[in-house]
Amino acid sequence: MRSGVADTPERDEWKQAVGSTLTHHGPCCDRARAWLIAMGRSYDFSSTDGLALAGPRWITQRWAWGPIRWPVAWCEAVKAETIDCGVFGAFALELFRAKGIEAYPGQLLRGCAEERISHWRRKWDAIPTAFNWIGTRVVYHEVSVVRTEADQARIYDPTEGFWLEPGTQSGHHGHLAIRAEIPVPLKWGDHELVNGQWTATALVG
Amino acid sequence: MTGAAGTPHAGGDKAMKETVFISGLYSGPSPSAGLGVARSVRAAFPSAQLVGVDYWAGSSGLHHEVFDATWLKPPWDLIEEDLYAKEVQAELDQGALWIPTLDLEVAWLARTLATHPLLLAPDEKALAPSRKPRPSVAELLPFEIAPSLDLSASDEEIYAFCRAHSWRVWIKGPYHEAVAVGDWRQLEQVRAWMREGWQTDRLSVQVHVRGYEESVCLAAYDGRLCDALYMRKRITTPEGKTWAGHVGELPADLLGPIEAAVRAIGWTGGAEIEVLRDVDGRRWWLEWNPRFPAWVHGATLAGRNLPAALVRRALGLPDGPRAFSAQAEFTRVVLEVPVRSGIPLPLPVEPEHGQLGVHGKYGASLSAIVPMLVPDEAPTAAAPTLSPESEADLLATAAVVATPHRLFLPRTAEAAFGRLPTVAPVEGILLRYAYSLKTSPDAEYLMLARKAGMLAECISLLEVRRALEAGWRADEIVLNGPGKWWPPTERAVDGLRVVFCDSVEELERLAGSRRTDGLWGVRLRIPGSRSRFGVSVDEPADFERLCAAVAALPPGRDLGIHVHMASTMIGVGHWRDVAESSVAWAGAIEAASGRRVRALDLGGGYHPDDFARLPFRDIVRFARNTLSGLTAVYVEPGRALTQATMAMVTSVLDVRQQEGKLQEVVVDACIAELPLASVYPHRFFHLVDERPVPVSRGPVRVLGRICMEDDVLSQGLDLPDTLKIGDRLVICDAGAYERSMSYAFGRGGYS
Repeated sequence: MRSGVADTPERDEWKQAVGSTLTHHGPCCDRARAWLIAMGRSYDFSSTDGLALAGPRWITQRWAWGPIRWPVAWCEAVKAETIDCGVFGAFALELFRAKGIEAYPGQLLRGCAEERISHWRRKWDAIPTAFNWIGTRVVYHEVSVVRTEADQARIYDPTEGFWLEPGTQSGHHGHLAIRAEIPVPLKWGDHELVNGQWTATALVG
Repeated sequence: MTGAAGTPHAGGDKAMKETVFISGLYSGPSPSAGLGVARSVRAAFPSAQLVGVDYWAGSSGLHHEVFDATWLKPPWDLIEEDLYAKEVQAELDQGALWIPTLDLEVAWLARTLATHPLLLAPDEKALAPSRKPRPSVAELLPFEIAPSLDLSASDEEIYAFCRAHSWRVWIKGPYHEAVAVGDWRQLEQVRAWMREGWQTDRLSVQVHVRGYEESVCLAAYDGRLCDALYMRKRITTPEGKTWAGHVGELPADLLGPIEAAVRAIGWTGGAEIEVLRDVDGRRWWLEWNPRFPAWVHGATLAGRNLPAALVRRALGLPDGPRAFSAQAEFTRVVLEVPVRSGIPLPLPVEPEHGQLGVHGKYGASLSAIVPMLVPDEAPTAAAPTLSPESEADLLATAAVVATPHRLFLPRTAEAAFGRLPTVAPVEGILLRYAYSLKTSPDAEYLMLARKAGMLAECISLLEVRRALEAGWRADEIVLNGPGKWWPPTERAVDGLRVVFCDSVEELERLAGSRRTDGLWGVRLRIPGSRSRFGVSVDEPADFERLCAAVAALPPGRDLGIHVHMASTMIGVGHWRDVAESSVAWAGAIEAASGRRVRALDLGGGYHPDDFARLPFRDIVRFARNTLSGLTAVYVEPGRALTQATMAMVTSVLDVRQQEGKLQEVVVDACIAELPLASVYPHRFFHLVDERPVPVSRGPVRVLGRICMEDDVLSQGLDLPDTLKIGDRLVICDAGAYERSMSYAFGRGGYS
């Protein structure tokens, strides 16, 4: 039994990776951010539903997931048809913060069925400057760490539009380790999140 | 049957050889729980004699190998109720156990049989606190309770409830079934369909809760909990039924209250508490089903066999294992099984137009049980109310005018305009009312609007002319709409207060004109809200184009933003979301174009009852925080002020009876005079000795006079059997668009 982090020595760069940030050209990117935030308010039915923590589900429905050339500017990202989990993460962070929710970048290592890996590899190889997130049985993914209480966090996956469960099943799509860029230590279920450190959340055989 | 090691059969209690009757074997897309219960009982008791009970040969669970024998009883509309009760009683008395899994059958058993230690179902005393729509057992549990309302409330109250909850509501049947409705017409259709299907008026409307579907499954015997667990749905069918799920321990905060609730009501049998968990973490009560859920064998596969726990407790056997297996998730698959010999499938009926054959619909006629359970008397429907002003207006004239006649109610109108709420300026920002001329352009209303200090809101040059003739100055007129410059023969009056463009093209034309209006603006089509009006900002390119057009306005020109989504249609909460969203877009346009947003126009379409309650002051304050240059917020009431200020007086032309009871009446008004008769509820009154007597909902349809199938003015009123030709009815709420959109039809060319 080895931890997910230890299982992927070939991906040392993941261990150091921080949450993706989009570059900013100037006024064109100001407009792009303003558009994104206004769209977020239009799709946040907080008075209709009375929910404070609703995630930005609309971005999952609007953009397809796939490779994108990095670096990416705001004005390019909003007009792209396909974005990767780093752009999804940047969008979600912007939208959570715009409605006053304390949110931080998070990175995840998750299991992936080996028979899928070859397909992802070919898809991403077609875009030379795309981020290399694909390991052998483990993949890198970006999420939003949402602080819900002084010492509590929840994890939102904007690429898939769901809140992760801390005690999820192992195997394909199960999370193995998480890293959060947070100002104070937070608990996610039974897991302790500490700024910049990978926390193992499951074991792989 | 024996099981291999590692299957749920392993370790089963082979000494138990009792007979267990298990009913409810429909196993289609919305399955009953009988088959799952049987598989779980078999897993624990390989030697038990399992008898499958159902009321339709097409119930595919009858054919499953888990059953040693079957009982195929007649459907419930043909069953001999007394005989069946005796048959069930005889089996229980001979030592058989009985586990029913159909809600209605459970209710029938509770009503029909005395409590029996081997009848593993709740008795009447236990069942009553769990009944919909407001079960008292819910108060014992730590769940939020979604607001609901009996449909015996008045139509006004039901309509207000739906608007208050943004039309995110479900119509619910008396035992199960729920259908989402999004407007009054749908509500009326679903209500009629459900009343027909369930043969009762005991329906309710419940607020939709946006949340994850989860369940508590429990087994209890004589008020003591045998076992309970928590299931989170992972995949649901298009009908919302569980297809796959994750089972786990009951959350710690639920176990104690559930034990206490089961004890308090003395529950016996399986039960499922359906729950919605919202993203803020609150759990909402949905309903208590008085039997095991259909997915119960999924929990057995995960190591927790609740049907077996119930049987053990009933037989006095020691409790079985309770440990979850390593795999806490289950899913369903579709399997074919051979049909049991002796129970051939029902033949398909002769094809007709429309749907063909038996489409998986359960053929047990379970709704025939409802009249056995529900008291015969229909619930008393609440009556509509009338303001003192309207009553005085009707007393003055309703009995004497020639019918059909739309009465203007002067006292009612005076009061409506007089009640126009005064909103104090918020940090210098004025809330200004602009009377929407299109709603009711009659002189009486224009006079009242001017007297109340309102501006005029117009959508065409003809309306602008009308406003000027009524005394408004050009700088008191707000011009809106997609065809505002029509007709071209009319003078395009300059110097208007605000002109809101409906497209970027129109804004560009305006920018190139030499007009001197006080302010130009755009109407926005807010993303996520279906509308044909305004400028779309759904795409970044659309937004950039709009911002470029705004930036290109002549120097010194500031901007207005207009949004309009009728609160009558989308409800109050959603209206607030749209209003706040428009502020967010205004801020984005201001930042991107460099032009100050000076005015915000929130449109109209308010229901009279909502208008005074909408949080305009909060919206103004919210807008002030985002838009530093804002000086005015406009609101365009028309409907809110005038809908209740007219009433249609109509005479009965024909009365039609069935078995001595009034069934339908024909009146001399029709949908030409009331084109929105089915779009929102209207208050009806019967003139008796010249006084308006309120008429509640009831069984009598009110048909209009013209030869159109949809000329139905009410789907059902409680009119007296003594009603006769020539009697008068008053249909209230016939102002506003009922007046301005009415048309001449079936009058032989005479208006």
